[in-house]
Amino acid sequence: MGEAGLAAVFAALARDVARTASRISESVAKITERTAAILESDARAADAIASAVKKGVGRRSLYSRSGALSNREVLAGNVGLPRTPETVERYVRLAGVDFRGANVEIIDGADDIAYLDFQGAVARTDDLGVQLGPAAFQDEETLVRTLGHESVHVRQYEDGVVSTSTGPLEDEAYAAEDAFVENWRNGR
Amino acid sequence: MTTQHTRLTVERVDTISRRPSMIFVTGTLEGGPLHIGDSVVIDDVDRMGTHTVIRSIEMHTAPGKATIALDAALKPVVRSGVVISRSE
Repeated sequence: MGEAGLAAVFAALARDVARTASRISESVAKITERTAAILESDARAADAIASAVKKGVGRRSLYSRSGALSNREVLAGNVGLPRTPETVERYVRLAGVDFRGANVEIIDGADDIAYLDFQGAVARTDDLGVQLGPAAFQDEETLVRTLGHESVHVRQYEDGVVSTSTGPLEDEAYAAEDAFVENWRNGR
Repeated sequence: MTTQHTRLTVERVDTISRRPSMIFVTGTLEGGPLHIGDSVVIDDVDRMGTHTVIRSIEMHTAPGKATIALDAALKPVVRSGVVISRSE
């Protein structure tokens, strides 16, 4: 092959390289554009989650109102902490919870489980005291949050502020939970 | 201007083992909030109306629902579909 032939081959190769480079560049641009869209979507989702958590929505679904496991699931699987008065006393002490002398019971009857799971609750409080369902014991933090949360309801009953407009009362109880968790973590 | 009457349309009645003196009545609430000690009338089948007082209120309720505790002796008349109204 003479010089002219080699030049033609190199020229053809150069055109191929240029076309390939152009395609790669287009692909990179598309990938970049798609990645930016995904990141923007993720950022919006992260903002929504952060906003929900700030409002207490995340805590409501995970702690005092309803744990990751239902009462029926915890009872059937026999999972979590021992459901005993000694466990309650230990975490009340560690979290610095004050039940103001209210009676605290552990309930696990069939009617109790059906009622708590219908309400999506792991525990309940009334003017006769606090009742803890099996799901309150599914892990340490859930128990600490539940004990702290219900102690706020004990005070609300004492103050005579309970009505079917439970939103503000629940907000107050959820807002108090983090301080009890901090006490427990610092005291471990 | 009209004032909406406060009424709970019963959807479910529960009992709890350590609260034998009460029934827990869940339903859809219309009108204003109910309080412990409020006088209410149960619109029972005899249409005579059974008067009673709210003994307690559930703090943790299913979304969109309200739960009140009434005397357990009223269980025979508090059934799904019954309306419980605040006495004016």
